Order: sequence, then structure tokens, then C-alpha cells
Amino acid sequence: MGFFSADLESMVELYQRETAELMEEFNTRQVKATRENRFSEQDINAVFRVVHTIKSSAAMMGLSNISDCSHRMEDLFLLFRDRPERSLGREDRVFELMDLFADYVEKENERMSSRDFQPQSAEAVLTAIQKEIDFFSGKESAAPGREAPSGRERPERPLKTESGEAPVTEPGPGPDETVWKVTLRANCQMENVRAFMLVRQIGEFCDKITTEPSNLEAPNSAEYISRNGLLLRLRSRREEEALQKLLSSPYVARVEEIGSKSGTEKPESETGADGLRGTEEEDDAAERQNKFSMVSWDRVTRLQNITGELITSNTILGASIKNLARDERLENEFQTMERQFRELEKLVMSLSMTPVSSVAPRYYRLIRDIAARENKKIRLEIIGEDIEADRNLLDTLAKPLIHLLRNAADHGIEAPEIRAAAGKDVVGLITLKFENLTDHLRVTVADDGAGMDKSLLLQKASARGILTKDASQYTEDEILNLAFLPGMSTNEKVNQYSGRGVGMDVARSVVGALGGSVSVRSAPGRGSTIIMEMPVSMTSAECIRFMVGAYTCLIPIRCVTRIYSFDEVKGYIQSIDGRMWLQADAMLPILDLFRLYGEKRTAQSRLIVIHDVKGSAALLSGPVAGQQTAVGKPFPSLIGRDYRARTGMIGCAVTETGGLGMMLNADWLIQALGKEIAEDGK
Amino acid sequence: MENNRDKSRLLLVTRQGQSRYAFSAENVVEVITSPAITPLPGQPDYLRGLISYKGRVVPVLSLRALRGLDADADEPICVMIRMDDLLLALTVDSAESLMEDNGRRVEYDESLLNGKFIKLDCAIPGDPVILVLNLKKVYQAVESHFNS
Repeated sequence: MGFFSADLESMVELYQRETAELMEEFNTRQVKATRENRFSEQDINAVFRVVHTIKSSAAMMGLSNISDCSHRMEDLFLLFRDRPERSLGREDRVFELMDLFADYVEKENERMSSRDFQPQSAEAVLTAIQKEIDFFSGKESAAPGREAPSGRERPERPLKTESGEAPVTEPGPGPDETVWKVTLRANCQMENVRAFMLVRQIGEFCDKITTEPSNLEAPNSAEYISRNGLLLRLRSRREEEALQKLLSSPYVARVEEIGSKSGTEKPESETGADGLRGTEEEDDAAERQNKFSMVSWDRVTRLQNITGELITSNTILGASIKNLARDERLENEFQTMERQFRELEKLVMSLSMTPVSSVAPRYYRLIRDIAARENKKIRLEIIGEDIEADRNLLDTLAKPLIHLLRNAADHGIEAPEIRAAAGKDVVGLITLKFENLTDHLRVTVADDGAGMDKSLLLQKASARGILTKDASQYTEDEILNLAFLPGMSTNEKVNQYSGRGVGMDVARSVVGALGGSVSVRSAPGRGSTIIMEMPVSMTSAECIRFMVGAYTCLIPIRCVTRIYSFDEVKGYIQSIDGRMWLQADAMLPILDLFRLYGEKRTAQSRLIVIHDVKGSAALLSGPVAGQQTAVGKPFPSLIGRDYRARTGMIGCAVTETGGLGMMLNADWLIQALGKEIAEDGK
Repeated sequence: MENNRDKSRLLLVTRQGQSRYAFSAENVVEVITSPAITPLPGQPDYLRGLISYKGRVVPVLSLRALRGLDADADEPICVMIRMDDLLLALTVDSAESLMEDNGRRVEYDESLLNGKFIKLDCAIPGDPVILVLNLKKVYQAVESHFNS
């Protein structure tokens, strides 16, 4: 058996989820306070509430380390809650402690899922927080009339009174108060823990809430609740919602409103008496529960995959219907179905979407850590926090992002005195930007630091023997790309670009595996920018379908400007240094897809003018076969990033005819063309 | 070569001209015939293209071509193989039988096989001898070749 007893095991997931939610609140408060460089009263209260709740729920799970840490943190914030001005001038230290605390609690929270989980020591966290508490008591103990704060002498809070272990019967409801009697399902076990969770869950709807028994942590409270039920005495303007929430709990058999008297005087029937009535109400509760439901990520992913398949099948079906004799009813019906599929897709996609802001705190924390350690002044600005992205994707990106941000802070941003000497703002700026480009996500990490030293990069690559041609023949882009090669950094500790290699290598392999690309820009003295772009999976895109010899290709319609018949515009095609250019509004280079894919050019060739962030070009292709909704699927990992970049193919999609088509990426094609043109010049 | 590792494992034996190749049946998801394979531009001989299989895009390798033999011959049988998260299709001439690994071994020199991608787990005596492929190693060899 693991750390948790069988009783508690079923609660672990609930505890983890709740703690994760609480820590999100904790982190958000910290980010806000960091930004304003002060703690508002609301921040202090919120942090206090969070740590208080974690303290209790951890204690019930037997996680005494977490509970102790939270208790200590609670003591610290109690000092601030009593007198917010105490926090003035101590913010940085408190931020650090919050980092330390969050780090510990979150790591434990993750580790808990493992079967052989054993709590890790929290000594370091405890000592650090205690030191800060001592700072205040040392400073203030001399002052008369002020109570030295400690865990035992705090104001009365809901949920826990200090009146000993026996459940206490309190008088009837006061003005505006409602008293509910909650009966838990028979044999649900750990009644006090369930009760505690319920109070947690409806807390947000209540201005005030107390329980009876008042001390849910008391050892005999479980038995008491199972015998007598749980009394909730609350003042709330959102009673209806609180009630809904209670009824949605799988452990609640029923909730009764109790008149003006304390419910303990009402004798409650013993087990079994609530038989029939209970079941009916359980059904009712189950119905209400539908309003909110927790679903595992695995199921969401499966649901998304099936939806993708459905849309693909529907596209194929649509093509077949077009070939049938006209039937208006069938067509109308099909159109309705198609619309519904769109809706379904949107809905299903939204299930796994989460705003970037949910992952932002760890990045702020990382930069703050490094700044403190390296004695630098760094401001991290995250742009696009409200953008929603697939949760799995955001998790996958965390690894490269941590590397890249660390690089930017460690090696990009200079020490304050160097920045001052260079006439720069002493506070370095790192920007982390998320952009949603419909079927792509672009993530940019930019710093205004020293930039990469190209001659050093060349020198190093040369020393490692990884140059493939003479150093003088390397273009600026090619030199910067050397930084992506593994091991371009492992030796020296501190110079402007050491460490870069690791991060970029990781970024490239992670983003490459996602079917995306990474590029870098850097200017000496002005900083570096790393741009990662990856397809957002499973969204469908309207595509033009065309042939290149035997190959079927698809390109998103949003990238297509115009389609010309090659023969009709022949007169506007010029050959410069052996390369064809189309003279349209501007001179457009032509990428010959026949040549790129090793096919013979066919009659009825087309020029498809495409555009994307990196420019425009014309693709020389075979005939256009149609337009269709395509659900992009990534290539198998065997088809590596070099192949993808070389061919401009980002993945596949099932075509209307049931075969596979190659999804082309306009940006990559334009880049591949740029490379060809650069080689033409040589 | 690993000997007598797991005597009770099941092997899928395929016939390939004069030779017999086998691999652990545990990895075999399904055997399908004549799937619609979409070729890729510039693909090497051993890669016959991609197929869409249960919503995933899966690469199709030719056992013939992996052995360095004429790749144009039709191999109608397609064995779907799963290794951890990886899905892979392997085309063969015919699937012969399922047999229990009897634990008997015979020394076999890999280099006799004319193909740099054929990696063996072991060889089981028989007529002809049954060559048990190490699919993981085969895939690794293919992957590093394709991406170099």
C-alpha cells in the first residue's frame, strides 16, 4: 500500500484538483502583487484564505508537511492581514517565500499521483518562513500593546473554533441566516472530510458560513456527522447556487432547510429510514450534477479524435452526395448536418482549451528567481495571456520555454552596470508573446539583452568541427542557426551565449515533434528573438486541393491570394538567373513544386499565389482539384523535421476522395524558396 | 543475440520468398490486405508511403526493400505493428502462421542478410530457418537513415 490509506485514496484526486485550483489563485495573487510591487488587502486576504484551506485539507489527508508549511504561511499572512503596512519593504522577501512555498506544494501535488509517493521534507520551507516571521516578532516584541503573532492567537475564523474537540451545539440562526441540514449518503465514510470539502465548495457563494460540528478536524466529528448530519449556518445572497452545488455532490443524500431551531434537537432517523426518498433525490441530484462535471483529459482527447474522424467522414460523404442525382432534401439535410458538425467541433475543441494565463505564474517565478540569483534587474512581460490554447500543448511547450527564458535571463540580459554603461535601461526586458494564427500558434521569446555573438558562434562551431563549408560562406541566418545544434554550449559557464545551445536544441526538437518550426533573430547589443510556430492540432481548415504530378496537396485557403493558369500568364513570367519570376503587382519568385517533388510538369499547370507572415510567392503546380475542409493530422515521427521543412509539408489530411493529401505550410514553402534563391546566387 | 528469453511468447511468421521472418505477435495489432498507400515525394525504397489507420497517419515499410531486394514487387499483406506509442505498418508477401517460440536457437550471421536495416533478435531452427526480427532496432535504423 502507498502513503494513503484505502479510505483516503479515493480523495487524493479531489485533493490534488482542489489544491491545484487554490495554488492557481495563490499564484495569480502573487503575480498581481509582483506587478504592483505591493500587497493589496484583497491579495493578503486571498492568500490567507488559500493557505488556510490547504492547511486544513492537507491535514485531513495526513500530509502534515504541507499542512505545517501552510500553517506557517498562514501565520505570516496573518501578520499582514492584521496590519497590511507590515508588508511594506518586505515584498521581495515575501515573493521569494511564496515561490518557495508554491514550488513545494505544487511539486508534492504532482508527485502524489505516483503509487510510491512519500512526502518530502519541508524543513527548508518552514525555516525560511519562520525566519521572516521572526523578523517581525523581533522587531515588534519591544513595542507594547501589540500581540506577538502566533498560530494560537488568531481571530476567530469560520470552520474552526478553538473550543475543544467535542462538537458544540450552537444557538439557532441569527438574522439573515439560513440553516441547512445536510445528510450525507449512508456509508460514504470520512464524513468530516466530505463535509469540509462541501464547505469549501460553497464558500464562494456565502458571506459567512459556520458548521456544526464546528471543528471538522476533531476525531469524532465523522461519527457525529454520520449520526446527526451536518448543520450549515450561512449568510448568503446566492443561496440557490450554494444549494445546487451541495446537491451536485455525489456524497450528499439530501439537504433540508431547518426553521429557527438548531437541528440537533430534531431526532433523525437512523440508517435505512431514508431509503426510497433518498433514491429519488439522488436521481434529482444526478440530474443537476450534469451542470458541471469533471472529465479526464484522456477522454477529452478521445472525444476530439473521434470528432476529427467524424468530420473527415462527413467530408467524404459530402463528395459522394454531390455525385448523386440532385436531391434537394438530401442536400439540405446534409448542410444542416455539416453546420452541426462545425458546432460540435468548436465545442469539443473548447473542452481542452485553457488560457495562457494559467501557466504564466511559473514563468514569472522563474525570471524572478534568476534575477535575484544573478543580481540582475529583469522585467518579464507576457503578451497574449488571454489567448486560449490546448492544455496539452501548453504543457509540452513548458520545457522549451523554461530553457529559452532561462537563456534570455541568464545570458541575454546584461548586468545592470553593463546596461547602464551601454546607455540602456538598467531593467532588462524579456517578452514572452503568444499569438493565435487560426491554425497555428506562434510563441516568441524576445530579450533586449546583448544579442548573440556571431563570430564566437562561428569560432565555436569551427572548433567543434561541425561547419560544413568555409566559415566565410555562412550567411547570418545560417550562423544563428548553428546555435540550434546540440552541444554548442556545454563548456564555459558564463558568457553571452553559453547555454543557448541547450535551450534551442530542446526548443527545436519539441517544436519539431509538434510539426512546427523554430527560428532565431539576433542583433548585437539589441537582443535576441526566438520564434516558435506550431500547428494547432485537430482544427479543421478550409483548403484548396491541387495536384503535383501524382501527389495530392492541400493548402489553407487563407494563404492563397490568387490562382492563375500558367499558360495565360506566360507573358508575365521572366527568367532571372535561371529562376522564374511572376510579374504581378510585385515580382513574385516562383517555386516549382514539380521540381521540388521530383515530378514531370503536366499540362494545365497553375500558378498559386500564396502569402504568409514571411512574404509571398507563386507555386507552380498541377490542376486545382477542388476545395474542402481538411482536418490536419501530424506526420508520423519517422517523417522528421528536415524532410518536412524541405518539402514544405506539415502533415496530412484525408481528402474528399478518401486518400491522403499533403498539407502544405505556406511559410515553410516560402522559406524553402528563399533557400533555393540564396543557392541560385552562388 | 538474446537466447531463451521468453519461451512462451507468440510469434507471427511471415514468408518472404525463400525466407521466413517472424516477430513477436504481441506487437501485432492487425493484419490487413492491400491498403491504399499514399507515397511521399522522394521517399526511399524501403518506405512505401503513408496510410490512414484508425485516425492516425502511419508509415508503411516494405520488408522486401528493407532486405535490399527489388522493391517493386507487390507485397499484399500489411502487418500493423505497435511499439509503445509508435504505430508502423510492414508489408510482406504472406503471413504464414502463428507459432509459440519453442526456445530453440540457431546461430545466424546477420551480415549474411543483404540489408542494413534487418536487425535480428534471434534465429529459430527450421526449414527454412525462422529469423526473428528485432522491430525496435529495425525501426531505429530506418529512422536514422530517413532523417540523415
